[in-house]
Amino acid sequence: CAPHMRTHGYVPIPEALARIEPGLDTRSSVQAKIGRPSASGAFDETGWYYVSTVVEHYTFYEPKVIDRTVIAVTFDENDVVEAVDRFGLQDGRLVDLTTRTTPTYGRQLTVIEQIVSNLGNVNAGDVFSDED
Amino acid sequence: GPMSAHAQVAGAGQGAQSQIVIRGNRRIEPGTIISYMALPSDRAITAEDLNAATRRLFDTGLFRDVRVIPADRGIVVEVQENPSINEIAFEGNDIAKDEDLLRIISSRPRFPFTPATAESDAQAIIEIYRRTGRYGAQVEPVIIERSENRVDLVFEIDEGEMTGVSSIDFVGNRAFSDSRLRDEIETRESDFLSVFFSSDVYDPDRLELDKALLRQFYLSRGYADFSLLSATAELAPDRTGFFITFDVEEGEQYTFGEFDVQVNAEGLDAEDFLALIPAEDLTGETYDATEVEEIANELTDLAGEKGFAFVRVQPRADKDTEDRIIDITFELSEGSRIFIERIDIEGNTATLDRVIRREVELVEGDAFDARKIRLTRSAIRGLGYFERVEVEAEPGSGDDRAVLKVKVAEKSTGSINFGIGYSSSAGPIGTVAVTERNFLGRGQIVNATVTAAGDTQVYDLSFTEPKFLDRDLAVTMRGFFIQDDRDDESSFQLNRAGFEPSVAFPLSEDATLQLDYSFSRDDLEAAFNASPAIQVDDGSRFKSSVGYTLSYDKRNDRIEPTGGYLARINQEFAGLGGDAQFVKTRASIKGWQGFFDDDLVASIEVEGGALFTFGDDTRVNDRFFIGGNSLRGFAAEGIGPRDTVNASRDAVGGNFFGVVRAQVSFPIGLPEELGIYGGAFVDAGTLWGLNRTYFDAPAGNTSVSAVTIDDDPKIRVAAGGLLFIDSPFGPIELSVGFPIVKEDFDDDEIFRVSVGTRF
Amino acid sequence: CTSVKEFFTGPPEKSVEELTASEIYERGQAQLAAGSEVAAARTFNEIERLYPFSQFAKRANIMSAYASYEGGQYTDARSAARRYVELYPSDEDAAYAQYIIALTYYDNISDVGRDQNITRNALQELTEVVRRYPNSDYARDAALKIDLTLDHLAGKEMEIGRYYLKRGHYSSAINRFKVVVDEYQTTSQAPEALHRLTEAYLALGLEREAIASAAVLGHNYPGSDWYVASYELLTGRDIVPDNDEADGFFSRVYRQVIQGKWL
Repeated sequence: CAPHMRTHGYVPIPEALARIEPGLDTRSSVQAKIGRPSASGAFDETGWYYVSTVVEHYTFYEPKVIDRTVIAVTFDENDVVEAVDRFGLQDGRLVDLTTRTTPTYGRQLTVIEQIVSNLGNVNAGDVFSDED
Repeated sequence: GPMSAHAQVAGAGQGAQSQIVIRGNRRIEPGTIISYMALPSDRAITAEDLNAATRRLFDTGLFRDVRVIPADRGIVVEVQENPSINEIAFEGNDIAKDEDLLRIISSRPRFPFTPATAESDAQAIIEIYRRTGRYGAQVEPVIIERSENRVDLVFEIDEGEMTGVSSIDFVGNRAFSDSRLRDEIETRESDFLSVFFSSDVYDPDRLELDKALLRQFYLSRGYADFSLLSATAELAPDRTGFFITFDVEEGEQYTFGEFDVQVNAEGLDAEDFLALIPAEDLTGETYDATEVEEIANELTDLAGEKGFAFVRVQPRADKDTEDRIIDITFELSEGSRIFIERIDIEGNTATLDRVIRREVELVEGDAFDARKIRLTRSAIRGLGYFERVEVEAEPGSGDDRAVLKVKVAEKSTGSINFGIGYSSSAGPIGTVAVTERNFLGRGQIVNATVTAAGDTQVYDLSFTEPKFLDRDLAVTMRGFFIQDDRDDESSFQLNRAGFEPSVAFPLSEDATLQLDYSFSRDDLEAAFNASPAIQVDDGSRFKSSVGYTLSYDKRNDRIEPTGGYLARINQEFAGLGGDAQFVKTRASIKGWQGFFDDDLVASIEVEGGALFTFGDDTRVNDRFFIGGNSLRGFAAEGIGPRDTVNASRDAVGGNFFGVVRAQVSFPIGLPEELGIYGGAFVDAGTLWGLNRTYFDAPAGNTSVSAVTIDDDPKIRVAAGGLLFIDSPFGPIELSVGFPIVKEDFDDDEIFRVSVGTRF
Repeated sequence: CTSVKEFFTGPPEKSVEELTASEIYERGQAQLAAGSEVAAARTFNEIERLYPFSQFAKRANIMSAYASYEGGQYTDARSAARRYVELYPSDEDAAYAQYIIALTYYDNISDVGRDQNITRNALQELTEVVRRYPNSDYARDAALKIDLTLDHLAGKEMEIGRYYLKRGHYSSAINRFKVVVDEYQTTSQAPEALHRLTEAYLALGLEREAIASAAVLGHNYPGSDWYVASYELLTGRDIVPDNDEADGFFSRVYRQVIQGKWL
C-alpha cells in the first residue's frame, strides 16, 4: 500500500513557458499562451501566479504537501511582462496560522435540537434484541 | 376592444392620471390598479399605452376581464376580478396523495383563481402519472361557484391503468434474432410475471437506455457500420400498452487492423502512448468499440499523470470496406483549458460544509476532471447522511472557468427510543437509547444506551471521530457495562464491563485496517442447575487483548450493493496481562449479483471462526455460538455442542464454526415506494470443538450429574422464505425457516424478526 | 339550565361560519391578546376565506401574517405577507408585510458552517424593503440587518478560505479571501481576510504580495489585532506573545474534536 499522490492547481509546461518573452509579451498574449493564473495579487494585477501543489496521502498520516511549483509572471505599469520567476516548496515560509477567528452568529445546531429532531425514528436494532 | 393602434387619443390630455375612473373592482383598490397600469403621466397617453396597460393588468392574474375605454375627460377602466379560491380538492386519486398533488400545483386557497393556472395544474398532475408509467391518466379541473365571488377548485382524476409494453419488435436484424436482441435491452414485454417486475412498464428514459445498449451490443461485436434508424413507441388505441419497434441497419462485421498514435500537442512523446496499446493481441480480432474506449481512457490517464490535464484523446477509425479491416489512430490534441474556480455546497442544513468538502477530490483552482467528479459523488453518497446527492459543473465567470455545485438533501441520521416497563423479577425498567451518525453535523458518531432495570444495568457509550485532526484516521472510544442474560439458552448471567479504544484507516482505495485494544472484566454466574460444562467457568476474570480487522470492500455500491464482494478478517490476541490467553479469528466473504435491472438481488456469504487457547481450556464467555441471525431456522445458540444429560440442556458453544448463507430477494408486485420485498434463503453451518468433553459434577451439587459432551462437527441446513420491510424503525427482515438437516438436540426457531436489509 | 359541559367551558363557541366578519376579527384579536398566536392566525385566515371582499379581509390578511410570524409559523407568515404585498402593494401596511417576509428568513439564518440559502433570501427580501419602501420606518432597521447578513455571507467565505489555507491549498484560499476583500470590505471579516492573505502569500514565498496585504490592513485597520498578527508574521518575531492557546497536541484535539472548530 504505497502512498498515493494528488496534484492540484495548474502550472504551464516548460515548453509553453519558454515562449513567454519579458519585454515583449503583454497580459493578453500571456493569457492566450498559458491561460489565466491560479491566483493574482490582491490589490494590483502586477503579479500573476500559477501554482501547482503535489499532496501525498498515506494511510493515517496527515496529507502532506511534498512539492509545490509557483510560476510568477510580473508585469510593469503598461502591462508588459517584466520577469518570469519560478519558486519551489523551499521558498515558501512555514506559517503558524492564527487559530483565532472573527466571530459569526446564526442559529447553531444544538445537541437538544438534533436529539429532538430524531424523536420518532426508533432504531430497529434496539426494538428487536439482536444477538449473534 | 381597445382603440385601434396609433390614433392619438382625443381629449386624454396632460394630467390624464387624475381622471382615471376604475369600475367593477371589489377587493383590489383603485390605487393598486393604477400602479399596475403604469400609465405615463408626463405625456399624452397613446393607444399603445392603453394596450400595454391592459396587458399588464391581465398579467397580474387578478382579473377575469379588463376593458380600458377612453372617455371625454380621461379614461374609464372596467375590471372584473378573478374569483378567490375558497378550497381545493382532488377526487379519484389513490396512488398520489393529496399533499403531494397540492405541492406540485400553483393554485392556492385564498389566492385568485385563473383558468390558465388551473389548466397548467391539471397538466402537471398528468405529468406525475406519466412518470409513474400511467399514460392513460386524465385530469379535469372543475369549478364550483360559491357566494362572494369565490369558487371551489376540484381536480377530477382518472388514474387509468399501468401502461405496459405489449410487444417489442426488430426490423433489419440479420445477424442476431429478435429474442437475442430482446435480452440485450432493459425494457421487457408485459407477461404473467409483469406483476412482479417494473421493467415492463413503458418508460421513455429506459427506451433511450435501450438504444445505447443496442448500439454498444453491435459495436462491440465488430459491426462498426451499425446504425439505429429509428426506435418508435406507439400507444395502443385502448391506451393499455405500447408497441415498440427498433429499425436497425447492421452493416458488415469488421476486424481490428493497425494501431497508431498521433500527437499534435506540445511536449508529449507518441512512443510512451503507443506502448500502452496491446496491438499484438488485438490486430485480427473482431472490432470492439468498448475496447477502443478503454484504451482512450488509459491514454488520457497517462497524459494526466504527465501533468497534461487538458489533453483530449480522439480515436479515429479508417475503414477498409473491401476486406473489412479497421485501423485505429488515437489523436492526442490540446483540449480546452477549463478550471474549477469555486466549489459551492448547498442544501447542507445540518452537516457542516467541511465534512462534505473533505470528500471532494478536487480543490478550487484544479483542472476540470469528470472522473474525479464521479468519485466525489459516490464518496459523498457513501457518508450516508443524505437522501440525494448531486454534483454538477455549471458555467463560471469565464469560458475557461466552471463552478462545481454540490447539492445535497439531508435525511435524519439518528434515532432515539425510550422504553419504560415493569418486569416482575427486575422491577421498573427504563431504557434510553440514542444513536446519531452525524453528531452536530460534524460527521462524528455517538451511541449511548442506558438501561436501568432493578438490579440489571446496561451502559454502552461510544464516540467516533471519523477524520481525526483531518487525517484519514477514525478514532473510537467505547466504554460499556453489559448484563447478558443467557439463562434460558445456557443458564448463566454474564456481567461484562470494559473499555475499548480503536483506530481505523484506509490502506488503499478498497482496503481498511482497524486496530483495537480491549480491557474487560467478566463476572459469570452459572445457575445452580446449570450444566457442569457451564459451572466450570463460574467466577470472574480479566481480559486484556489487542486485535485488528482487515476489510477489503469491492462492492459496487456501499448502501445497496448489486455486484462485487466484501471480504473481512478479524483476529483478537488476548494475553497482554489479564487471565485470558487465546487467539480468536473470524473471517467472512460476501458476494452480490443483481438481475433484471437489479430488481432481483442474489447474495452468498461464507463465514468461519477459530478459537485457539494457550494454557487452560477455552471459556464459555469466549466460545462461538451459532443460531438465530447467524443461522436462520435455528434459535439463538440453537446448534453446536450441548449438555443433553442434565435438565437445563445448556448450549456450551464451540471453538470452531463454519456457515454459508445464500439468499435471493425480489419485488413482490407492490409499488416501489412501499419498500417491501420478498426473498428466499438457504443457510448451512456447523459449530464444533471443545478442549475437553468430560465435565465432572461440581462438588456438593447433587442437582446435576457429570456429562460427556459430543463436540464433533455436524452439518445443519435450513431453508425458507423472507420478507424485507423498509419500516419507520429501519430495515426489518422477517424470516420463516425450516431446518432440513439438524441434530435432535438442536433448538430450532421457525419464525424470526430481526434487523436486516435485502442486500 | 346550562349543561354540565357548558358550565366548564362557557357558552359553546359559535362556529366561524355563523359569525360576521367583524365578530371573527374580534375573536382573532382576543386570541392574539391571549397569546395563542397560531389560533389567531387561523381565525384571521377564515375572514379572508369567508368574506374575501369585506373591508376586514385586508386587515385580517396583515394580522394573520403578524400572528403567524409571532407564533413562529414562518412559512404561513410568509405566504400571508406575500399575498398582502401582491394585493395591496401601495398600501401603508405593505412595507410591514414585506418586512415580515424578510424577518421570516432573517430569524432562521443558520451558522456559517451550513447552507446559506436562507441568508441569501433574507438579504434579497431586506433589500426589497429598502428599495420599495425607502421612507417607511422599517427601511432603517432593514438596512441595519442587511449589514449583518452581508457579514454572515462574508463569514462563510472566510470559513472555506481557512479550510483551504490549513490544507496548504494557498491559491484557493487567496481567491476566497479576495472575494471578502473585494465584495464585503465593509464587514467585520475584512481585517481577518487581509491577515489571511498575508499568511497565504508568505506561505507561497511571495513576500512582496504579503507585505502589500499587510500594508492595506495596517492602513485601514491600524488598531486591529489582525494587523498585530500580520506585523509579527512579517517581522518574523513575536513582539507580544500571542494570546493563543498553546498549540500542543491535546489543545488541537480539544479544539477540533470537542469544540468542532476548523483550525
